[in-house]
Amino acid sequence: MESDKPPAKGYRTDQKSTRSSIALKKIVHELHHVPGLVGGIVEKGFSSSGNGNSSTGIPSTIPLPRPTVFPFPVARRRSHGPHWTPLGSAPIEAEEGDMEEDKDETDYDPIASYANPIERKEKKPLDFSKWKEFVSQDGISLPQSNNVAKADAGRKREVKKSIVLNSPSSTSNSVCKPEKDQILSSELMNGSVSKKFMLTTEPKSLASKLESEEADESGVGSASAISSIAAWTDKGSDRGDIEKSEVNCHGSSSFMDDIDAENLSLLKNMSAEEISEAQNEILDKMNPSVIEMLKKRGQSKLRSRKVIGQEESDGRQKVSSIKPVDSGKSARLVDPSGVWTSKIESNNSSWKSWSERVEKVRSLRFSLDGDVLGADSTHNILNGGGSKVRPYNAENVTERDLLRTEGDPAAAGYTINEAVALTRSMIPGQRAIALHLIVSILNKALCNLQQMDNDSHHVRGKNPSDNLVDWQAVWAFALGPEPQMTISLRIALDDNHDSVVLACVKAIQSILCFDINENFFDFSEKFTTSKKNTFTAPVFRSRPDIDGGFLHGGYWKYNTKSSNILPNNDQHNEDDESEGNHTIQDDIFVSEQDVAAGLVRMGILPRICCLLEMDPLAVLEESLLSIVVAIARHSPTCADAIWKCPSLIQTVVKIFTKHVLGEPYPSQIKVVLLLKVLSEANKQICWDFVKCGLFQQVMLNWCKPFSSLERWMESGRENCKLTSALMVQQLRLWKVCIQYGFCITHFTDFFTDLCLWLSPPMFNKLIGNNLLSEFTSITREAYLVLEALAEKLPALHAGEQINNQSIGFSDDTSEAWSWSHVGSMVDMAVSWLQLRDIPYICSLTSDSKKNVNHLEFASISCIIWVISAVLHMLCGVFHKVAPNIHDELDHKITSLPRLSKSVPNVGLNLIKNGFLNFSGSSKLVFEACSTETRSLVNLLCLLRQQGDFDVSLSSSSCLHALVQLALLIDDSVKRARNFNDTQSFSESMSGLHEKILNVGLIKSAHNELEEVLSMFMDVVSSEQQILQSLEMFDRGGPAPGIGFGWGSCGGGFWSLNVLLAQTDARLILSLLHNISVIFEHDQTQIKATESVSYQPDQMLTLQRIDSTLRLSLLAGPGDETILEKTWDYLFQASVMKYLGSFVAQYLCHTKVSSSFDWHYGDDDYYLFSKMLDSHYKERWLIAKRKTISEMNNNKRYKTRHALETIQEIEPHSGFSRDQATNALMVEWAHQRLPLPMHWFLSAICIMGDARRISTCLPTDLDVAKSGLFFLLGLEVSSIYLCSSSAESPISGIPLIWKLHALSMALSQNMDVLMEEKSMDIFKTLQDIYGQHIDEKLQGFTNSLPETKNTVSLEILNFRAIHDSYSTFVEHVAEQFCALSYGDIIYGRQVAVYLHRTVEPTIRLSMWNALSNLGGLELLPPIEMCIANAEGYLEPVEDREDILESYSKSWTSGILTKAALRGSISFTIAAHHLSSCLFNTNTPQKVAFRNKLVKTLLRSHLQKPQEEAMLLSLLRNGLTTSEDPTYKSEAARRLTVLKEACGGNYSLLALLEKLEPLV
Amino acid sequence: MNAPDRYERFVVPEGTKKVSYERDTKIVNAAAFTIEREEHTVGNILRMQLHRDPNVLFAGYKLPHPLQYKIIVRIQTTSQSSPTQAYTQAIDDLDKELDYLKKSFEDEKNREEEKLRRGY
Repeated sequence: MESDKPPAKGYRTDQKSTRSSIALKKIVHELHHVPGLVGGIVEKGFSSSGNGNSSTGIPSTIPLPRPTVFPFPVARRRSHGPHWTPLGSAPIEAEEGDMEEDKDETDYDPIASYANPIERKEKKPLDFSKWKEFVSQDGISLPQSNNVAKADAGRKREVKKSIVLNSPSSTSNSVCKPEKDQILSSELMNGSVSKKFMLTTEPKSLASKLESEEADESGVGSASAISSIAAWTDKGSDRGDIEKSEVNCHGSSSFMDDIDAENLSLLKNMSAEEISEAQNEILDKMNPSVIEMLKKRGQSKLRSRKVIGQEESDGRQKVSSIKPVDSGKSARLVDPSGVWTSKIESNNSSWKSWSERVEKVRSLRFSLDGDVLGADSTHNILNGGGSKVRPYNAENVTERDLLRTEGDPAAAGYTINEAVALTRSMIPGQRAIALHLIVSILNKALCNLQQMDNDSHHVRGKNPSDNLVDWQAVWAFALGPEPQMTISLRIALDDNHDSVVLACVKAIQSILCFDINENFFDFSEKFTTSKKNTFTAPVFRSRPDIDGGFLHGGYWKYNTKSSNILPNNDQHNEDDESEGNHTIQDDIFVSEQDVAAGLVRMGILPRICCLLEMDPLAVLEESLLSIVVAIARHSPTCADAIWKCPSLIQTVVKIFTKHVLGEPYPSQIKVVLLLKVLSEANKQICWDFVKCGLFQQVMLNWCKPFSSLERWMESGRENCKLTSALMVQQLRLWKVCIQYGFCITHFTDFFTDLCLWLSPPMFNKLIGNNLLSEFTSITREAYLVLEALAEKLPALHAGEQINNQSIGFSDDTSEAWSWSHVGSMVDMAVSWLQLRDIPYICSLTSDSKKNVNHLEFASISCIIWVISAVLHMLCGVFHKVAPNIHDELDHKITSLPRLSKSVPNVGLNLIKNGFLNFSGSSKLVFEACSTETRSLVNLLCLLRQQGDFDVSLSSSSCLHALVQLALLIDDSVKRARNFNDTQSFSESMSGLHEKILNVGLIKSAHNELEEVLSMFMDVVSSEQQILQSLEMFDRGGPAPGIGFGWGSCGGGFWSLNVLLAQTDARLILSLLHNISVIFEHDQTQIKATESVSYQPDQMLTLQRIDSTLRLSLLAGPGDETILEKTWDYLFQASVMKYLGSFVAQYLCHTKVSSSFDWHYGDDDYYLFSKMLDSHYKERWLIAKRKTISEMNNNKRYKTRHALETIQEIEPHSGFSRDQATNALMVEWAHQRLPLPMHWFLSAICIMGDARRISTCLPTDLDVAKSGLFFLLGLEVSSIYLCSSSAESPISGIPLIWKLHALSMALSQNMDVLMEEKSMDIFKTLQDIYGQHIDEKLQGFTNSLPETKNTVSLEILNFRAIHDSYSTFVEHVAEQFCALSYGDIIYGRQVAVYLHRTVEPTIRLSMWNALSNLGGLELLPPIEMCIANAEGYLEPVEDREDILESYSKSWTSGILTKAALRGSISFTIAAHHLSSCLFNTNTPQKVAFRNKLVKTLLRSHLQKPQEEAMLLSLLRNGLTTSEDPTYKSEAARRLTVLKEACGGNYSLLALLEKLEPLV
Repeated sequence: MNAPDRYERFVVPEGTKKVSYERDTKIVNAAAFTIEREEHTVGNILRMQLHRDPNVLFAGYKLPHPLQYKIIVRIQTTSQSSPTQAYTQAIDDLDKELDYLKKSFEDEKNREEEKLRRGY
């Protein structure tokens, strides 16, 4: 839409008619409102309409097009303008300015009083800080403009001020003409110069014209008119444009220009007489001194502007070139980054570097296929050097890009912000292109992130800035803190052009990482039924606090509160008024935090439903369904939202049934997937599906069987692929239902069809048709379904139905399954155990020399997956045959002889087919086991090491199943032997293989399994770092996206690396279940004697403990049971005993501490294991529950009118984490896993837990003691281990954490030190850590001088633990002074904070706290402190604040006692002070030194009895008085002091007195 | 809510002594004094006074809990003295000092009043 206002000719300079003034005013108004109109087009870089032309006398006939950055019809927000300037920006303060009859006030004032102007929020370049703050209330705690009134008031005054602003110049003009005129005209010149950037040639010519018309009164008028016109043209063309900021050099806003323009026009319409009259009037009214002042100011400003002007505009240029288009708002200055980084509290340095990385992306330019364009162009922009926006003229007008308004439009490619702005273009094609560009950028980013993931083994730790493009930052920026992308995408979805909608849907699909997440879930689904999927919503940890001992690893929270995702959910019936309160600002706020949540909030679901109903293109349909799936995976709330979205599910199911009779259709797969995901998310939803027949509808074409494989294969490869994919999804849906206990009865309907896929096929034909993977995926899923069914079997021998259905559902909804079908199932499974009939595997196992061919990986993994599923299924069945391994012994194996036979049958098959290698067993020598063949286990290990992800995962999973199955078989056989007639049983087991079975599979294959264990432990030790980088920041860290994009390095938790590591962890765990944690040899040794000498090569047990610790770090959400098991192994009493004996040996062999009496009995070890086990499980594994008051609130909300009842306090029954019984998906939120690296320190920190201290449990002390013992054990073992393995999980923990834990134990009381044993442990730990500090310091001093500058000396940067660590330090000092009795161990712990490697702020606050409380004298002597003495003294202190506080303590006499007792505090103070006094030579410091000398001497003047202290200060660092250099040095020092006295007589007298003593 | 009543802050419950004394079994010449119904006002001044005593090796006090209206003063002395002795000594000294303060304050006050009276 154009403003076709005819060019107003009414204001030539000489014309004075009032008509023209009215016309002019009108124009002012028009122009003012033009951008406000929807779609108003104002061309950038050209003066609007013909105003400029008319003034130069060139009539413009064709109004030029004037695009804004806001061309697409979008609802305009009030905040887009008019804009308000803060009061302070008016350059001249005037007392009184209403000399003129200001007609315009009548126009503005009513608006001013009624309008409710919105103070524009100061926009930060990247405001992450918002994410970091916890959203306190419903997320609508949006920053509101609170100075609305102020702006309103300021408005009126501004009008006046600007009049005054103008008037002095004109008055001065008339008063002292020759001089002032120059100033005025040059001022005007200056104005136009500063405007040069954007003005077209016309203003320039005007300016030159102005120069010629010097000293002419009317010329002045015209000049002002011109400049005013220029101002309008700016105004019109660049409302919401970048150049605005450049024009307004002193920060006045567009509004100021308006007023200025009007004033000038008024001025121009007045006659010369009128003007002079008015000027006189002003002069009369004004104080002459004020006028003088104003004149001076004008001159000085002029001068300064001349100097600064150029620089400033350059600076602006630079800044504005990296400003975003900002959806049509006028650009504001980017704050210097320092302002907002200071807000961010934690992880300052890393956070800063991260935000810098993200900020860099702003200027990256992408080509249309998503590649980053050459670094040169971006470099230029950043430097601001050659990237000035040139003013357009006739020559370079072709460079102008109407679509891009920021930075360097002529540059190639688009920045992300430009692309986002382009999605609002008027032309559909451009919108589509922009969206395609976004899609390709996102895909590239994801692709490269995944690449990082794959490469991460090799390049871990590499500096990300080394990469050419920092894709992680690109991803973060795209999703990032500026929410334009989300909003633009949401708007684009409402487009009426199919191509745009399609592109937009693709963009949303990739912004939700659908494909990569789906790939991850597909893998995780292949495992076993017990593995639960996880929700993908971004989360952050709650901040560590003192109550938790500052230990990290708090509960996870969602970035967005669930109530914010669906704001109208609850209050719908409440009051409709509240709906009006939700603005788009809230949407922005939510989508800043979480893209998917923002989309849902902005009503994406109804729109998708609408699109689906319109019978869209197949591609679009599929993508839309993908988005719905991604949203369903987001969080429970989102899944619920989909379920509740009216007619969405019906539409989706309609899509399925539409195609049900024809060929399988890609969308059908997605539909089933969606239903499955929704069912997983909530049991209720699943039940509803089953109830209303959706399940039957979806499984309908399952009943359309292929009579044979041949017919299936004949249907064509494409068709086969689709059917296979569809069937896999259907089977998974069924599996989910079965896991809930629904739809089990359908088994009879489906089983006959299933049989086709269950037995081994004709492999040749399959391979010939290239359909092996399709077939095997169906088989795999079918067996997984059978496994799920097997779990629903009643226990075979229990004689009673297990009634394990959970809450809320009556028994009739869930069905148990009978044993009658199991027989045939098992038979078919056994047929898969004939390895010799299976291709690939057969050839690999038969020849041990044969290498794994890389080409066969895909096929091999397919088959291994099937075998793995088969084994898992057998496990499930056998588990029910022998229900509980540790069951009571009185049940009998009686019924179903066929089944009881099947157990040994499977066992024999395992043996015969060479699953395991029994040759190493010492008891049985089998000639049958030749060395030519290799066992399956061996093969799987090989594949695990050499294969790609798929193969590694499958072999790991298969091994896991195999080990479990072997265990179950052994167990059954053992029991059968026990309860049957032993004689007859062993008779039936006469053959070779039977003998093995009789002995036990595990036992026979013990050697091989141990090999497997050690191999996998090695593997895990290389994997353990994966999860460590997961939590670089709390909120708003790397890519707060969804799923894959969420984590840090290479996708974080959602990477396949993690999945693989967790699978390995599970395997190790099941192996540890079979093979004890403690190596047998060690076990016997422990039993034999208490103190044995361990050889370094017998560290197997230590390695096992070590890897168990690593396993704990790998557990993610939903792995609580696994972790529990791990800890059961780790905290056995025998392990404690082993550690104990190890520590005893260590103490004997090293002189690290006075070896104390180390005697712990079995009871002690038992107590330790019990305490630690229960503590850690309670601390880390209990899920967060709503507090009772919260639950109350909820209830009250629902039943408002019901009487309040007293809520019963729910008993904490054990570890009730089964909140998830309602769903098969696991939430990240409300739990703590994965563990922080230093999790085991929590036992020690429990002593300092202020919250618990009020309910002080007597067990806490025991827990802390056990924790200390355990820590010492681990430390000692890590000392022994560090030579063998690279980095153990213990030594990898930063030293600050360990020292902090020790301090934490003392921070409330010193009960830990009350008992002698724990005191000794404490001391030993301190000694060990002292050694660590010394080693690190040694490493630092040995390092090259050039690296020294980069590496900070602050080895112990305690502030990394928490920002307010100094408060904690003060608390420790307070406790020390209150109740320690000057305990040496306590004192050591306190003194460590004075170590030179501790950062200065902490040191200072510790010193001050001790000084104030009189605790300095209580510290032990320096020799007794942790770490070497040099560490406290060298290098010499150079911070003045610390030295001052030393001298303050010195002069106030606090150190007097410390000097008497020889405490470390005196040593430190004397050393640093004397070094400062006598070794200062830089002139800057001399003044400080002199001050110091005077203070010290003066204090000694008053206290003559403290002469010894002064002498020791003088003599510090000097050895003996016999030393020949002593005399000269002492004399030098005395002269230094004398010089510093500055001739003060009394001080000199003191020194005189001192001289003979030295 | 369940905070103790106000009067509990200053009313010593029946049957408990204002000051109780407990010797430390592990360290020689060390003892803890529990002073009921006192807080930082007394604790801090007492500790500072004790710090002046050259025979006192350690003196500190602690308010165990904001809602437990008592302080625990821990004292350790050299063999020349004993905790009880140091404690009473400190209190005596404080007494004297405060008396002196009070007296000189009153003297000064009287002098001023005198001046005023004479002035009339």
